[in-house]
Amino acid sequence: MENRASMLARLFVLMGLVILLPVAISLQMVRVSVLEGSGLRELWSSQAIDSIPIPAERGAIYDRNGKLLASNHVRCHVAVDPNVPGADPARFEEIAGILAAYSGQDMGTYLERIRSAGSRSRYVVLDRSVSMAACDELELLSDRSLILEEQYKRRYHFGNLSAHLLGYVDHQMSGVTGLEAFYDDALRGEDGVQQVRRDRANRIFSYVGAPKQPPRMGYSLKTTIDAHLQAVVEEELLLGVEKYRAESGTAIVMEPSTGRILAMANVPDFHPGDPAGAEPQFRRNRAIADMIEPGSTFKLVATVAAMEQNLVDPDEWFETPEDGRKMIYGQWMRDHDPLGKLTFRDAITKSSNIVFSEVAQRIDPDTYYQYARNMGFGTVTHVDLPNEKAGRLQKPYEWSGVTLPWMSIGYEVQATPLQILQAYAAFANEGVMMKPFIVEQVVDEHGQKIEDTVPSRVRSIAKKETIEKLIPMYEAVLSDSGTASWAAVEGLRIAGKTGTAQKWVDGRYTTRYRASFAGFFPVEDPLYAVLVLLEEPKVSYYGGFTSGSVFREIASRITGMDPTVRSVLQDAVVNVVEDSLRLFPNLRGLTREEAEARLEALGMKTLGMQADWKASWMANEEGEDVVESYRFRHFESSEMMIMEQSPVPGEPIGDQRLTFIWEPKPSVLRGESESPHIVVPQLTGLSVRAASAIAREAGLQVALQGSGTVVSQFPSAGEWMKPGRTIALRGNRTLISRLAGAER
Amino acid sequence: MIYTSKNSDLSSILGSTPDELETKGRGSDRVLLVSVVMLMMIGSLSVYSAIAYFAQSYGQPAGSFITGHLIKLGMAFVVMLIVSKMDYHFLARLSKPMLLVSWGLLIFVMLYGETVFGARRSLSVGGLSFQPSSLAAVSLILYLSTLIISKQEYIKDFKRSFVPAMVWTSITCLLIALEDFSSAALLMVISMALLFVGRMHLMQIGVLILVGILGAGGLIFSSAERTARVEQYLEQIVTVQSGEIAQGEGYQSQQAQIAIAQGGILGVGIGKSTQRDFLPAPYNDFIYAIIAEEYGLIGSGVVLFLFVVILFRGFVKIAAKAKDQLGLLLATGATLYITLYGFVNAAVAGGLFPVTGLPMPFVSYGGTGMIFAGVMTGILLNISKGVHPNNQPFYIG
Repeated sequence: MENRASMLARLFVLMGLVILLPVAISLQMVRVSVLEGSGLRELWSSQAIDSIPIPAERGAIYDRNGKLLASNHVRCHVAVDPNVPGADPARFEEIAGILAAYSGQDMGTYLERIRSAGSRSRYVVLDRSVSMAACDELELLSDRSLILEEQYKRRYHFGNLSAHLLGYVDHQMSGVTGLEAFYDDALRGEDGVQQVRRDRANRIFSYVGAPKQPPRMGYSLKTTIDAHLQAVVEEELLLGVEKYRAESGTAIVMEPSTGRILAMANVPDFHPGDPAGAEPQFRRNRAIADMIEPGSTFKLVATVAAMEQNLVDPDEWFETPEDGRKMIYGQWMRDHDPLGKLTFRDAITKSSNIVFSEVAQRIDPDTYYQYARNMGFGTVTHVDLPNEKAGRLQKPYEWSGVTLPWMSIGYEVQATPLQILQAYAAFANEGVMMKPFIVEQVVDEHGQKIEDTVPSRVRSIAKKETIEKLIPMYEAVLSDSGTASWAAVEGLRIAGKTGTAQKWVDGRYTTRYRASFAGFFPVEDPLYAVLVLLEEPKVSYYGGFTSGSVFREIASRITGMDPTVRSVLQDAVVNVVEDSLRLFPNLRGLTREEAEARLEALGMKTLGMQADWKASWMANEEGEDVVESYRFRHFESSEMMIMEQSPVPGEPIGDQRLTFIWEPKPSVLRGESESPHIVVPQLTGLSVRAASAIAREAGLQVALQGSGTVVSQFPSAGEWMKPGRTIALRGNRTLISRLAGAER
Repeated sequence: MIYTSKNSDLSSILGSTPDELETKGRGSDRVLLVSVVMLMMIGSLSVYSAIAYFAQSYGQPAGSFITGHLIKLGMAFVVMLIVSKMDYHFLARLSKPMLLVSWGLLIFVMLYGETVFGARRSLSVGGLSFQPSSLAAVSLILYLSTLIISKQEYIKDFKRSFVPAMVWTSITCLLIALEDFSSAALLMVISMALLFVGRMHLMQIGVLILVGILGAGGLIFSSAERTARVEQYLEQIVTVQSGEIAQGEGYQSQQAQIAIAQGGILGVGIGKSTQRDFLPAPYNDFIYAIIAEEYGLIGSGVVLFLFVVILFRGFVKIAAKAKDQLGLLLATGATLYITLYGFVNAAVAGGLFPVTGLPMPFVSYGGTGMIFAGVMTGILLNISKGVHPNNQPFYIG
């Protein structure tokens, strides 16, 4: 038993030693957890906590009436990780199948992308932009290899409409050109931040209760552009380019009293959602980026200078050579036809180069230069668009002997189309030149004003009296004896000037021409200054015939659209319009087939209907009240409906074309999804009527407040809703009945 | 009679029949049983949480892993119950052949075994992986106890007692050490404790410890991996590394300490561990860090306390009151086997010991070690049933 006692003694000694371990561990735990805890916890934050940006939505671009020109929609970016543990190659076929069904691409291309990826690849992009409906279906697969990301994509509501003005964005949603680039900082917004958890493999998880800073949506632009007018101008310009077989065309409409650009169009154009689909030269905004020799429209400078300096009297007689050409310092200067003996007044009307070169030589070069400079040539207009060119105006000491006579008729000088129009707008505005601008207001997402553009006066180009004397002469250009009789609109007083310039190619003037017309109306109180420019028209090089005709179409349609212009029409014409009393029907919300049916029901026959984007119809047989044609401009597929029409419903039918602005049907917007939920379409910016039609077609009830243009909607675009639920829309106008009923 | 002339004394020790013993029995130790069950429950919760990330990165639900763990726990519990019904004298008789078989298995595994985390330790039999080192450890503890008790009469004799005991111990530890140094070292410590309690000459043990330290030093410096570990260890023991995220050797320790610091006093909550994403094998080697993170100092303290309870019950209530010397020594070995693994695992998590990869018995994700911890608990329970005839009450504190 002595042994046992000894063993017990040693046992307790051993226990005493062993017990030191838990004691030491306890102390160490307290040391690590409490005493050294903060440093270690900081380490934890540095390795396990990260923050990721929440992308801010880019601001929208509106026209002057609040119509959406550019906004965003949520698209899905689809990638796979073919080597994730547990990935099943058999699922790839399923994924590709779903993508193919939504994108219309071949299933094989998707599978090929996976196959051709490196064997260690962990990220294979399958599709950068599919509809959210496709995304949802993919989500249902809950396949571990799928990497789905929601992304904002830019959406241009009217396709090619005002493409050059709007510009476009790159794949990172940064503006590349146009307003998108010029106002990129404002449109961009500020990304938010979300805290996320990160694991050892740098994978990121969001977690409940994670602090986050919401993104600030980019500011929206309210532009001076009138989408109706823009559509009209683009359409007429396109027609002109086609009709006169021109290479390209540019047209600008400006409000002379303020400098607002109401429309700016170039043909050919492109789709801002797919800029790569067009050749680079067609993406350039020629209205501000092309420096051209203006030709006869530039005679305005010499006219103003000579008249104001009293160097010429309008009724002074000039003799031109019988053969219509004259040698000046060894170069022949010609008139388009021999004009014989004529007054200075007639020289403007008939655009005599010989008379102008003579008058110009009376002007002191420095004075002439100053006038040209004052009228905006040789400097940028500072319009709010990127890449504007200043043109080229030689200084007098650079001149040769022939410079002044040639410059007086618009050669040896380069100007942008916008500069030419700016000069004519100043002419229209009693000699006061206004700075052209496009963005009226920058507003935040709640419509609060951030920045406001106030029309700004640049300078006066001439005395009011001089201008007043000149206007009748320029009005006469459109008379039967003038060079631009084709530009005249019956009953409407227009002043303007043609321009026909030989193009300088490879060091010499060629037989290729640039035809232009700059004018403004109504002369009583000019509301519109319009420039039309056609490059190399083949049918006739006379600016008056080609550009003048396009100008006339635009002017007449503006007359139809703008009651103020109509109010100053000569009585006779008003009566013609009033007599007809036939009114345009409402075709908004209809598809092409439905619209045709409606027109037909009203006794308006469709003539020469073509399957593609162009068709024309005429009024009933006995009526002269001709609605010539309507066009499917911006008509991209049969899945489109009429969102807006011009002229608007209820306007009397005059000598006008009916133009539609098309919009994808709501069913297209939601990606033809069979899903029980609906993606709420963006309805703000649309007319209340069109918005309601879209909402109803999408299967939603509509609760309306106000009328006019939708300024807010709830739920907002991109959210999910069950069919049959109610979407609330608020218009910008309150009904009079509602006002009357209001207590206060 | 299995054993022959050489160990003639052994037969006298093992002579008494089971029937004879059980007449004087008491109930098996309930406190020990409850402690083990509590450890199992806390362990299951923590493993379930810790395994989630691992399971996720392999694309499987955490449920499938936790089911495996629960099955192992069940097996360990059943084994424990079975062993507690078996007389430890019977096991002592079996211990020599068991040890020899385990040697064979160790050699076999070394040649043909599966590689797990850089070391060839396990053997797969019908889908279940099996680590012979655990069997070898348990067999050695059983056999060494038996050997020491059989040589009590001449226990201080170097040639007759010390040398044979050391031969068995060294060979076993060496075989284990070739692939699993930490387990071997721990087994060596337990063996020395047994020699100590078994009344071996202190001088001899002292020399042995010296030799052991020298040998361990040699082994440490024979492997670059081990040297790095030890260097890192010495550095971290002095100062808690909280300046920047450690790379390489210090990474695991530091991540475990971050987990403990994250847990604070009350813990981040059940299943809310984030360090499981950063710790390697959080369900096994670093389960204690996960417990500290999720349940705080309170939770980790409870686990540590349960092991201390096992230590007390094993030494004071079971070993000290065992009905014979074999019971005493076996209970000492079994208690040490369970608690030292637990303490070492906790000490590693706390950064007190270098990273060893030893599991925490009943808590870590199930493996062979858990089954043998069950065996050891069963032996303890069985010993606790008997009462020494001349039991002198002996209490501490």
